[in-house]
Amino acid sequence: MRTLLAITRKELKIYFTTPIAYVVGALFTLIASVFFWSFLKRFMLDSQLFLEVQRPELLEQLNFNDRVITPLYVGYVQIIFLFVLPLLTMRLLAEERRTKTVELLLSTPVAPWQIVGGKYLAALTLVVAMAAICLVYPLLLEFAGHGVGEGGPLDWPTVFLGLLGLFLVGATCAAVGLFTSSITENQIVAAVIGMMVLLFFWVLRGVGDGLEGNLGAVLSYASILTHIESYARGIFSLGDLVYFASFITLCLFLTHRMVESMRWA
Amino acid sequence: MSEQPAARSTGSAAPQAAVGANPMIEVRGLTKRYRDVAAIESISFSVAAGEIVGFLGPNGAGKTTTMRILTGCIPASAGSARVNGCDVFEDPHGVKRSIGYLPEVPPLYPDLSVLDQLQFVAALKGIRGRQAQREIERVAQRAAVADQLDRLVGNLSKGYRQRVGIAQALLGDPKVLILDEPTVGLDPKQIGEVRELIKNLAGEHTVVLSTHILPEVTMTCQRVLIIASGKVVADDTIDRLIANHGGKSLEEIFLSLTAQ
Repeated sequence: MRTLLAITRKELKIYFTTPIAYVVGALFTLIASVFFWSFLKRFMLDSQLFLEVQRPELLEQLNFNDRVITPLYVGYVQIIFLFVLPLLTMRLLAEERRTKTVELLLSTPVAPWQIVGGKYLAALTLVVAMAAICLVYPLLLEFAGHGVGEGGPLDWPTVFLGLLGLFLVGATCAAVGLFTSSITENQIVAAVIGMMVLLFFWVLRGVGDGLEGNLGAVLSYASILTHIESYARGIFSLGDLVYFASFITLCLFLTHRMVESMRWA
Repeated sequence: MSEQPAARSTGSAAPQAAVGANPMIEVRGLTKRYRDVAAIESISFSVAAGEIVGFLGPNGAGKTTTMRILTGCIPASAGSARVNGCDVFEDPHGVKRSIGYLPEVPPLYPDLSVLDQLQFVAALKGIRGRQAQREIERVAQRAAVADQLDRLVGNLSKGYRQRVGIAQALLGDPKVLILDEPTVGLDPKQIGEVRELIKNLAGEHTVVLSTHILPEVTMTCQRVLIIASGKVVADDTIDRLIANHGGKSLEEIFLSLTAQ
């Protein structure tokens, strides 16, 4: 376990001594903030509209959860994850192979699962950091906004479940990215394949919905998009948790196999 | 000295140098094939504890392949290798614990500082806490990088990078050191220092060192192992090798043995 954590620490050190973490973090915050601002703007326009047409009862249906936070998390931040995480994870194994530093890992008493686990944990740390950035937006609303009547502006359990869903999607993207990083020495190839795989599991929903019968149902079920919905609505779903956990486990298992096979190359 | 073609030995290995009952490294019939091409073919040799052996051969002879098998980086196609009593195939972790390996390209992360790099390697080797700190100070002193600990590896000159590579191979005081061309890229002064360092390691460490610089062998090694196209063509002490070849220089012996 200590060896695993040593690998995690090394990866994080590299992320934070090079500009990678800062550039990605800054761009991520910028894009997410722009989306947040645009949702908020639309929210304000809608509430003004409802007042102008003299139908204040419609205002009750306007809330920050449904109109700002959920669309931000589910609609946009996850799409950013889909592109950003393969870019963050592409170097994890591909770079070690290209620069031959992998010989250090192979010639010291380190097991493949420690390599895979250590690197995945480093990627997860970045996912958590990005999810934490996303927590800023509901906090802003909590302090600056106000709800209708008694309640606060936000339903926090829904926010946290949304964040959990966000984390699970990020963890899945990181696992896919780590795996594609293990299959090639070329970082760009790793990132592109990672994005393609993720995009495939995203659009699978559309394909599945268009087909009839069992095949359509299976394809829809396999899509990542299907399993975000309950968390976005604020419902904890064990089935969806199992889906993400299996997806991640499969990716890590395949990565483990690839790392083992590096010795046999 | 005049050419003596009669002295050319073809393929068959010279008589084995005397080795103790329990060799530190024992290699038997080691073969590595890449598809149909054999990188090394049925190599056998053993190295006694405390010995410094020079691994000689032209480029592409199979030196690096043999070293990579010994360190557990790649598996052999056939044959066996034992280091410090552990089989490379059956107990790779046991082997890796008793080996310090400096590959041809020192495995360094350019974005880490020298201290971070050494700390990482210490952790990989299972050295923890205060002991790790002591070990890092010791090897940094020994490889003369103690004043470079705060610099980023990527900003170091090639000579310093090579020395950091040696320092990390020395971490944990392994019984066996396997150094793949340790003096490549160093300036003459540094070459002298590294050779001196390697010589001083004799006795406490068993050292296998590959090179194609012949004077290096005469200066640092007690025994030479010459391999050509994947086969051992000579295995003897330097003095005896020269005596057996009628007093020719090591260079001439090397050229005649490896010419094919």
